[in-house]
Amino acid sequence: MAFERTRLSDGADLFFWPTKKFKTTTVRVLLRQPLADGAGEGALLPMVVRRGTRSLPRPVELARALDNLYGADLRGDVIKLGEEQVLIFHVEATSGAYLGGEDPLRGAVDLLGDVLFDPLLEDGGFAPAFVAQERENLLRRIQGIYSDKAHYAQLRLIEEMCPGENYAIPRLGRPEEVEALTPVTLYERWQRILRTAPIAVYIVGDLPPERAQDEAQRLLSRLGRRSPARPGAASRHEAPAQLRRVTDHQPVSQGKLAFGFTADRRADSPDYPALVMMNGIYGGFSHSKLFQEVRERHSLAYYAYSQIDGLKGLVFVQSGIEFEHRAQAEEIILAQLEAMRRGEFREQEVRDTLAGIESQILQSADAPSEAIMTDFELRASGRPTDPEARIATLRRVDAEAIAQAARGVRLDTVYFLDGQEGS
Amino acid sequence: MARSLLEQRRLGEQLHYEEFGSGLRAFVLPKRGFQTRYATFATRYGSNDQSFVDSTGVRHDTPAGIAHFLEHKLFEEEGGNVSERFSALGAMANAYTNYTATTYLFSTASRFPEALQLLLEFVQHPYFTPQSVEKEQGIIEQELRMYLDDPRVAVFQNLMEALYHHHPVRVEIGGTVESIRQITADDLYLCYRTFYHPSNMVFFATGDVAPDAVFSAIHRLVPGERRAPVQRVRPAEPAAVRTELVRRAMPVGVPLIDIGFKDEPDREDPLRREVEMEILLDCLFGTSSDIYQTLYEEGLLSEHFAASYFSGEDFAASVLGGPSPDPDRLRERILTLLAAQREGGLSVEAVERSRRKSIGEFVALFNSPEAVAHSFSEYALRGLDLFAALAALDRVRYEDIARRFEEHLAQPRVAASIIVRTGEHAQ
Repeated sequence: MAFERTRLSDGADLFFWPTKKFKTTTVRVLLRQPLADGAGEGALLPMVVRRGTRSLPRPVELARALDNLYGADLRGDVIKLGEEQVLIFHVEATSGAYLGGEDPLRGAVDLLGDVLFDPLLEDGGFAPAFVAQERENLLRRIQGIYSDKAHYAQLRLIEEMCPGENYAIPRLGRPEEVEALTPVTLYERWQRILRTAPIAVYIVGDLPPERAQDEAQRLLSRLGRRSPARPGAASRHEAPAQLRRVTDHQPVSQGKLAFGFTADRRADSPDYPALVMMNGIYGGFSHSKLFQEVRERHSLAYYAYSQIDGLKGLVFVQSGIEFEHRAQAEEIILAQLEAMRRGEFREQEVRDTLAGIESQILQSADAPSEAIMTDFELRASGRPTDPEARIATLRRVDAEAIAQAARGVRLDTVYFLDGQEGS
Repeated sequence: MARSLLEQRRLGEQLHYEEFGSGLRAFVLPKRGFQTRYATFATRYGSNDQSFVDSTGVRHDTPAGIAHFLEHKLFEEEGGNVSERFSALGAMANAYTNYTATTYLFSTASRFPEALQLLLEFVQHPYFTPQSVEKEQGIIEQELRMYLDDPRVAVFQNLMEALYHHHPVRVEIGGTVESIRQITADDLYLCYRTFYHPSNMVFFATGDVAPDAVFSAIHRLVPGERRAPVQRVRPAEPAAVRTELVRRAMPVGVPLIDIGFKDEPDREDPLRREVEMEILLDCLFGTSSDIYQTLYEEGLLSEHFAASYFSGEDFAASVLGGPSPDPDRLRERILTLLAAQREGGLSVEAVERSRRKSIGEFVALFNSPEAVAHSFSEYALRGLDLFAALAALDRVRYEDIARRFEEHLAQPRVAASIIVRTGEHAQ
């Protein structure tokens, strides 16, 4: 997997990977924004522009146009990347080679272009009916997180761990902010994003480079004059003077125990690969210490894992347990980290972890969207994108470096979603 | 030993197939350029197979959740867990159980032959002790509790209980905390011997793999003689639904609903039935449909609303639903709009649009080695050929879809399952 980069205009680049592997062509536009600039607006924008365009003002018309293109898939969403929000616009069309020569790509890219640059407007803002509907949908998506207890626990952990930091702004924003916006302020924000956001256009598929260039140029042909902003790094997390403990109660069947740790390095550090290896041995795989001890040895949980946010320099652990096993599970989870710090892991654990991460790196090239997001996130965090180079840096990490990375990981906040009191 | 090559010129794929003396059917779909090499080894044994008659004619009724429990325990071997040996090869092993099948799989970017051998061996070597069974109960109990807190699981489970009187599809795949406590090592051996025979199994591999090497490994490692099919016991199921509406309160952010239309399974041509139903449901409830757009504008559903045909050899239902701020109103509106649609009929354009969409989506399925492996293997266990779906899509006619609309949705045997927020009109 190798994306070739071409400059399209000010702060807008094309990343193209020509490959015969897939039976679709994927085009993805990624726009980076600081989370602090209004994450609710950012989350709402892909939902609103996707509703209708000047030439296809009724949502049903846009839906039918896509279905007629052999079910071309046009979607918008947002992700959180450190303290940034990335607006994603995605269109994927089945290759003409498998459809008896009919090629839906051009039509699909034109529809994406209309969505981005020619949405349905009224009185200097987006169509009020679309904004009203999608505002309700977004508020419901935000409320819906409460239904997914593992996700909710992670969100609450970050909220308690990083109060006042931009990092604590949720991916979909906050309800107050979503309620306050208007069709006009939302459209102004959209114009500002198109003017200032760094733009990456990714294309993956079986196309000649000239065709990819041509599609990307045509897609962005309506992009006006720009003054792109430079994305800044995430702020440093301030560790508390003493351990924070937070417990919520809900009428649930299983407790969710979540830990937030600070690491002493971030993704742009030359020592970062040691933290990646440490996380893998600690809780990244089924051979890892957390899975082996919490699940296999003590039968306390079905899942127990750790993960890193490299842009912010934080490590998270979560496990779903019986309420009364809270203290025992916490003790075991923290004891595994202590063992890591003392260098108590076998050669075999290092080898298995390396093999597992290598497989993950190589396999990310097997799905168009995953290949795109991997490349995008690596670039955003200043890391090498070449799979072999990434594997080589991990191979160079020795046991002492791993133990040292573990010694730099400090417990900050423990969150527990407990059952209802008295029930 | 029958060996054949099924060429799918239109998809640019070649499928290699061999049926072994043991009765095992094996498929290899080489996909050059992919890093992931992927293999599944599946048995036609799911949660629906709780009751069966063994080869000596004795009937057995086993505890709910035993197929899933067996799936967990098969990873256990003397002195450890086979997952670790996959890890050491850089491979990830996994398994899942559904109503009709249990599937073991691994994916790897390296050392495929060793991982393949491991997969074929461990699935054929059960090792259960009372201690290890007891240990697993704690783990599975937490897995079940995780699902108990998941409202999407609950809304579907309650729908199955509303639609079906006796058919085992109404029982949770994983069983309950109580039912799994009854499972013993002897039960597991009995079910293993009954259902894990190569005659009852299908193997599938895809990625950058050589068919000859895969088939010769199977030949070497999967011995046995063909055996008669297992006799599965199924109670008679009435055509009517059991309850029209079930409602439960949970700590959810947004209420949920699933609506089910109970159908008679098609035993003649189930593949054609599925293809026709996917098109019909897309015409009626897909994003391009009048019903979807109307309900979206009324604020009753969101993009998470979905409709699909849920079916197996001896059960079938159309299931539609998703989160909704007012599930009762959504249910009422769907039934009203559906009746109106019946008056007006389906348009020829809508059917053609859905057919094109289905073709595009079918081709796109082959982007993903995992998705192809799972779909293909599930169909093959039922004796169906996934590739034939493409030809069936070509043959779909407007009249067939219109007829299905009349047959299936005109006299609706319909049930609904609703999850409301804790504290709100709970009953």
